[in-house]
Amino acid sequence: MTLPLPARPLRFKLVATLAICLLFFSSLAPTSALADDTASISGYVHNAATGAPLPGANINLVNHPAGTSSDTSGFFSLTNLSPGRYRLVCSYVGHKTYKTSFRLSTEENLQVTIPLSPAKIRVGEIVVRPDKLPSSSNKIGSYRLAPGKAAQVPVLLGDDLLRSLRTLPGVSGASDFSSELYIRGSAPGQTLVQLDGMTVYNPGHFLGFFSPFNPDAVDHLRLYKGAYPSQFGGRLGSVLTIEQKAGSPHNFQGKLNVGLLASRAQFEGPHPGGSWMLAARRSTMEPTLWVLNQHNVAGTPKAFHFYDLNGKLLFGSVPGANLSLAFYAARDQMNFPFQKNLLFDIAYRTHAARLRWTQPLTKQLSSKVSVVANRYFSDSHGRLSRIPYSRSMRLMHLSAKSRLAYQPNSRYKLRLGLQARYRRFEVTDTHLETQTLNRSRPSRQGTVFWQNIYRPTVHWKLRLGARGYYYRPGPYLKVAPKAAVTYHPTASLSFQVAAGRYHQFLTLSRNQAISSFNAWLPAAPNVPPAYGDQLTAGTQLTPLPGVSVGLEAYYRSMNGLFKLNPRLTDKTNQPYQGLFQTGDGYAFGSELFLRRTAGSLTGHVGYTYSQTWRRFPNINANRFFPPRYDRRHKLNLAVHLQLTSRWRLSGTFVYTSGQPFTQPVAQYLLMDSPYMGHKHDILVAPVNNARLPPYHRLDLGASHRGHLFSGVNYQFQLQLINVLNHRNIWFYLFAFDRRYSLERLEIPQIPIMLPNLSITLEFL
Amino acid sequence: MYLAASRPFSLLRRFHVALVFLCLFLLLAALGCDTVAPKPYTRQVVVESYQMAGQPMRKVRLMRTTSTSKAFDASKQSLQGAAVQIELLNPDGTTAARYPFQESASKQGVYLPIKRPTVKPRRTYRLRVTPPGSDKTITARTVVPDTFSLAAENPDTVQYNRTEHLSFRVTPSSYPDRPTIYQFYTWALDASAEQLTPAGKQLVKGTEALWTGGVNYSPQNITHTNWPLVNESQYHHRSDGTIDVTYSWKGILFYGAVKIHTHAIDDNLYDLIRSEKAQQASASPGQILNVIDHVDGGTGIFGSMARATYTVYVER
Repeated sequence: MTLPLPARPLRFKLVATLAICLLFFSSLAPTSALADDTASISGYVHNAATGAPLPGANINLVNHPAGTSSDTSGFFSLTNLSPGRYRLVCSYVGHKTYKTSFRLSTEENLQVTIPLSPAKIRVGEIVVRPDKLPSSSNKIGSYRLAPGKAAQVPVLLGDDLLRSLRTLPGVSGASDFSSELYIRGSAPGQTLVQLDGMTVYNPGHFLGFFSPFNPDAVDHLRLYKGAYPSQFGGRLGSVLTIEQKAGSPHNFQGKLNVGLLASRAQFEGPHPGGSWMLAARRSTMEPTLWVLNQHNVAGTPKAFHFYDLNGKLLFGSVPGANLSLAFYAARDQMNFPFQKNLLFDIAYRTHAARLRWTQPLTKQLSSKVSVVANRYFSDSHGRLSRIPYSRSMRLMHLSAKSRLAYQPNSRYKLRLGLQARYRRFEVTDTHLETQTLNRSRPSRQGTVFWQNIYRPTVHWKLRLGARGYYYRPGPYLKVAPKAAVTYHPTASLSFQVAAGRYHQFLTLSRNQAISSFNAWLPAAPNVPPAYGDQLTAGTQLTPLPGVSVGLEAYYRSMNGLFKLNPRLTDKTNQPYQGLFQTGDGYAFGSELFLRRTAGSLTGHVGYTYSQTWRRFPNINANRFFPPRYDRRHKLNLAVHLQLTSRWRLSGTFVYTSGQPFTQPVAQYLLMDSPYMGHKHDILVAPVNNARLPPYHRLDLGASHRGHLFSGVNYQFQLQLINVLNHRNIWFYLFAFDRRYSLERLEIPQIPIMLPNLSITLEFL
Repeated sequence: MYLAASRPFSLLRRFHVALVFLCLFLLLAALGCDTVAPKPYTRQVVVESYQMAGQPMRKVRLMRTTSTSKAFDASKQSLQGAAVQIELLNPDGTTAARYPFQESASKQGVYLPIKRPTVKPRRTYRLRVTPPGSDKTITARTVVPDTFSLAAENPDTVQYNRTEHLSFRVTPSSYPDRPTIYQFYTWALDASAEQLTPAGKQLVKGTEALWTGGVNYSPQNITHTNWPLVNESQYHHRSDGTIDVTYSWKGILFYGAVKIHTHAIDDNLYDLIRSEKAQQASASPGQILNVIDHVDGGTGIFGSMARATYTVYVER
């Protein structure tokens, strides 16, 4: 279904043309840069303790203009160097700076391995040199977070990587009970979530209450809030990548965490051919549930547990050729009454694995080849007043990917990639033991991407790229150009403008409360993929060492958004395209971010102003309306105070505008219907015409770190969630009483202050 | 990589740049204002009329919407003194005939046709309502589905649950540019607690106290039931042109005589029924969908249908 859409402001139709022109000119650039000197140095940067590659480390030569940063595998290359003596400095946030001297002779290619040791957090540890380029660990539009940092933020249900992202401008969530992310006005299904390259289709345990990622298994995560580079694709909004830890190649070590809600263990160490890492987590709520059930507390699950298992096996050394196997398995099982006469019996599982082979081909060229297998399946049964209904979802994902990285000199980087993907989606709905929806849809997709980074001068950086898709059934052939320009007038100031086109070949049909009822469905003939354009502009200033200010503005359009038509009553006999309704939308906003990263008092303050709008047929007379992802204002504050080497205090405060909801404004009664046999009430309810009261929450936390006995350290954490006891509204339920008067029932989020205790043991 | 022209960042310059940042941000923030504050709602005129193909023209009821904060009282919301007319339209949109209505003397807000012409199938009718004291006319159109009837071979008595579905045969209906959409409405003529079928017992037992607000299904208030909309392509089409319509046993709540009205509905009723169902039974709590109406200048329903009724005795 298509809409007769009027023209809308702020659409930028020239993106593709502009990007192609820039591409052409940039492709001419590297040839001239190759001609001068012949000596070079290349190598890998990795974590000395774990062996994990360190992407984004800065590598500079003292008293020489050459400098670069490492790529995602830790690889770097500096070429066109004159023969002579050099001093190399390598730095990375949170690690000790590495310095070395060497001499290069004519046509020599020196290969080095740089191990960076993690540094303990100390006052004044981070040094920002005014004559250097800023660290690339946090670029405009993207954010990098390590689990150690996440643990400093008091979040609901312990260390939760996804929830800690909500302290960033432009990122909010569905509710206290959900770890889903609304990023710059996008729905959760518009954010690509990848764990070690494996797409995670249901990011949440216990219907989203718990993050699916065990923080002990995670090395770092990176969030691209918008205008993300061409190496990623398939989503209209944002990208969240999570890298699992590689095991330590040197010694066996482990970590054990015991909490009231969940407990976890993580072990790692060397093996003869490389290293390994294994992490497991399981809910430990049984004693709590038993107590609650003994006291007949409403809504308490009768049975509930989840577990997840993360692992990584590495053969070979991290810097250089290696073969790695990463895997992830998760399972949730629960049985709980939501209200009287409403019962849910839910199970869902994810099994995923990735095998990757990394191979340097020459001093300037490296390759990665990976295959991914992923299965997600859920079985959700509900029984409302003994009337059963259920949804079953099966999703199988197989993909193979190859990537080449080429860096002929320090000014130019090129990445090329190919990917083939097969997915199968199966959704079955039943109501009263009768199938109301049964669809099985395969999809095949071939993808090629190209990304080019060029630094014509020390002040300018161009990132150009494109991603092409061939998708079946359809078939659809799509090309998505992307471009970004960064300008550094001084080392303390940078500006960036980025734009790109994005496509999405699948949609997530969401249930707002019970996420296991969510269903992914693919594009098909007469159901074309959604597409959108993004434009971001930002600037970052470092006025003082350890203090940075960022300002970003963005606009994104969303076209051809397809979703299951909620008003469809006869799904079984509909052609596939008849299941959907198609709409469009757009979002824009600005974000201000002030951060202090040095000293005993660190943290950040952010403010976001944003709007997002959607339009679908037969909703509000085909006019734009704000979806539930819309938050006009958001103020967030996160503070960490290192009292002593052992004690640390932290606090977060979030204030956001209320979520849009539908407030019925009038009613009438149909009196004479020949098809119902009785009077029935109709609500006049323009969709999302009102907002819930503003949301705010203050959380505080304290942790104490110490040494227990030989080789064993401990960390004790106390977190207080919702210290102000503020009763934020989750949603309203409306129902007519017998006199056709509408009653509103208020469903709160966490209405009281919740404490959480956990103890972590680390042994080396 | 070193910057060639790096210089110390003076305090004054820092302040200047910070000021530029702040101004830029305030400018961006000031660009928007909260445009989703609920607008004051003005009451609308509600029309309600259902025309049946091949039958005399039926009444039109007029009322006004009312606040959700108080109980709905139909007698207080009825609209009197309006000018009401239904027009039969030619295929080119011109008016073929006009049928004026007059207000009922006994029922407030009900308007009856002065003449009672037969509603013609496959034709378009337009409703025109001018409220008292208003110069704006509320209009709505309906395209009437084709008539259809029961085929001759249907049994008078069936045994409950003996076959997979309750099945009966009808002649085809038709509708422009889409398959016929059926809606079923059953009326149990021998309803009592003793006559409950297993499906009826399940419904009564299962709804002692629904969390949605105390709906209580007793045998007395489930004598009339309706079934979700069904597209005709779901049914078997016989070579003689008739269609085997199937009806789920779960919709038969009582043994004994049951009247099954099968309706072929127009687009207006199709949109109303499906959107009304979605409004009342959204899968996501707190999410209310608006009802689709096709009334210009007001709200409600001006719909049409064709009906075939099958009366059958359901044995245990």
